Amino acid sequence: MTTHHNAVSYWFVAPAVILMVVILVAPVFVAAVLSFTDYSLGNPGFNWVGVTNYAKLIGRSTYTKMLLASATYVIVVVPVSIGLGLGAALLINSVKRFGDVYKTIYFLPVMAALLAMAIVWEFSLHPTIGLVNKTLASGCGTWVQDLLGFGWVPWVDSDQSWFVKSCRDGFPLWFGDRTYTMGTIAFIGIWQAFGFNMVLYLAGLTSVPRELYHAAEIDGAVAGWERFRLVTWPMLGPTTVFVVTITTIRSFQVFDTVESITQGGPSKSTYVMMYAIYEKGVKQNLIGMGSAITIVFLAFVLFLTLAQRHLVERKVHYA
Amino acid sequence: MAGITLKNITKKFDDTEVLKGIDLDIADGEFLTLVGASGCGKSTLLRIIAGLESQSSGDVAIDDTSVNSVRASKRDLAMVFQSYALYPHLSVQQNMETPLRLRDLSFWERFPLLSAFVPGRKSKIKAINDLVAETAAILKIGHLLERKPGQLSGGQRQRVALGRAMVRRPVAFLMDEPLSNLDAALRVHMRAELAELHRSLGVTFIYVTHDQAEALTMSDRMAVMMDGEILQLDTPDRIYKNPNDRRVADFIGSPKINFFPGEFDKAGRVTSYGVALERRLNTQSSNGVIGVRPEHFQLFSDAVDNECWPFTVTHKESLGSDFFLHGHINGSQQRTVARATPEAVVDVSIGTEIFLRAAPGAAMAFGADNRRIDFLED
Repeated sequence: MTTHHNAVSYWFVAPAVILMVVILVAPVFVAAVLSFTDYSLGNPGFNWVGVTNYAKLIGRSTYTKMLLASATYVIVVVPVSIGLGLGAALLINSVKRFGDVYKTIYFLPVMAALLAMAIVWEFSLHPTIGLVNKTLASGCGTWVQDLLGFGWVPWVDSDQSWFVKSCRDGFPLWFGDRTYTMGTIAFIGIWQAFGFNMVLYLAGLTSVPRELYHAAEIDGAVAGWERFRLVTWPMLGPTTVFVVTITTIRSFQVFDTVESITQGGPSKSTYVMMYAIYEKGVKQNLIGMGSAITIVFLAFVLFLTLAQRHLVERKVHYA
Repeated sequence: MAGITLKNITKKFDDTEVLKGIDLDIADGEFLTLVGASGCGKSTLLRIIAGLESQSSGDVAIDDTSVNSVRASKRDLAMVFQSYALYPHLSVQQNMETPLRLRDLSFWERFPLLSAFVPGRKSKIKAINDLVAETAAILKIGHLLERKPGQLSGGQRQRVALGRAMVRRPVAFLMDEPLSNLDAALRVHMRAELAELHRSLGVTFIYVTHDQAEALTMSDRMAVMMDGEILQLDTPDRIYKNPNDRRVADFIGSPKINFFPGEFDKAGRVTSYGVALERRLNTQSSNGVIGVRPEHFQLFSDAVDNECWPFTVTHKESLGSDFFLHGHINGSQQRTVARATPEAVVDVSIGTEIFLRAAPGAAMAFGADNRRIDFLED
């Protein structure tokens, strides 16, 4: 068969290619170009500043903290939300009744707007009027304190335990104390993300052939964890690759909770990349700096996705 | 090695009764086939023997010991599945090792990383490897041990599934339509190989199939199942020659047996399509059917006696060694098939009218209740 290089054929693909370039490639390209300038929105022109923006990213402690905050969030949220999602999916898959009820309930946080739920959490975790601290404080001086003081465990000094100390000095400022803030934000992130992972795993579980479990039983896999190791986990490989990739990208993109509750504070402990882009590029109108962070952000996500593909997919079986 | 006994096994799914009191005695070392159309409960019965499903009532005993409360993995049976159910992420070697590792290695000996420090593990691993290599050699899959199931052909996967079942020397093999995913030529080949394997292992085989050819060619005995019951249990030869039920006669044999409506008179004489048979029936009922297998027809160009049916040929099918003549007996629209040798049909073409006669003693009679009716001995 000979190939005909006909001009008409280019006209046929042109709309698709042009749309793709304009909508998908051009914005990234523009951001890349702007990251080498000091452009501000509304200014008539801009100056080329070379790699100054990137040098700041590496040099300034603010941005080191930004990378640290994003990394912490991702490292905490991704494994925990995936583990919980898988656990919930396995449990729901094993119950004969009420599975749909559990599915709906666990999926509720995913359906709810994170911004709205952030406000609920902000109230619940308010240091003085919040439900959480009030409940905790009501346990002080009662059997709850004895229990959570862990004085009943040998070699534990109950006076040094978290609960007893908190009773003495007051319960934490969940969003004001830098020891807790990142943990609290990550907790909300996990709370929101695990339902989604659960649904993905539930879908993955339906595609595991039942005969494989029968074969495992016949082969002598008596314990549940053996069947999990022999059948479930390997067969969920493709699902896991997808879940890890999606959760990582979504965790890098965390913004709603940070913007509405902490604004990156206290002392930049929750200054995640998305919030930094918003603060620099939108609030302070430093488009050049915002673009530079965007490009770094993109590079991170791209790198992680490719690395995952490379590392995991080699070992994953696609049936 | 062991005999397996089933006593009055029933199985209900909600309100549907899938198995209606199955009694079966499988001798040690026997090749028993459960054959029947899909939905007859044969796979359910196999899974009940395996312990993958529990019976609603009745007893399963292996070697005269009841295993009703013994779970599948402890019954020491091996199973080959229709889909082979190989672990797709493991190599052939690992697939075949799995049953040995799970049984022979302790928890700590299988634990990742730490297992390397457990004393005595090395010799066990070596024993496992030897067994796998030995089994692989028997099945001629030694060169495939490093491959994953996804890189194997259907026939190779089938062998690996067999190997995984064989490797730990179980007391009996259960096979759930193991050949149905293979192409026709390979199926015929594997039939012979499985039968040989059974002979050399001397272990009990329980084989489920919907393919009557597999049942007829391989088994020592076969149980024809329908609607949750065993209609007939006997050697393939006797089941083919002497079906005790119309449904058995209908299911076993290819092309299918021909059934003609029959009227029985008081003396037991049978008339079908205007032809009265010589022999008389031992029955009081007034109607039923006459069954004649395609190969039991004799062809004549003229009516030689009163037992000949006039027959119009509508289709002639050549199998090389044999011919199948399709057509209908004059006065009926029912398709009838007769087998003939190539020499006998030289002059027969489509539209030709010939005469068919059932070979002496070959016709079978069945009552309205599907039961076989015997002819009276003269």
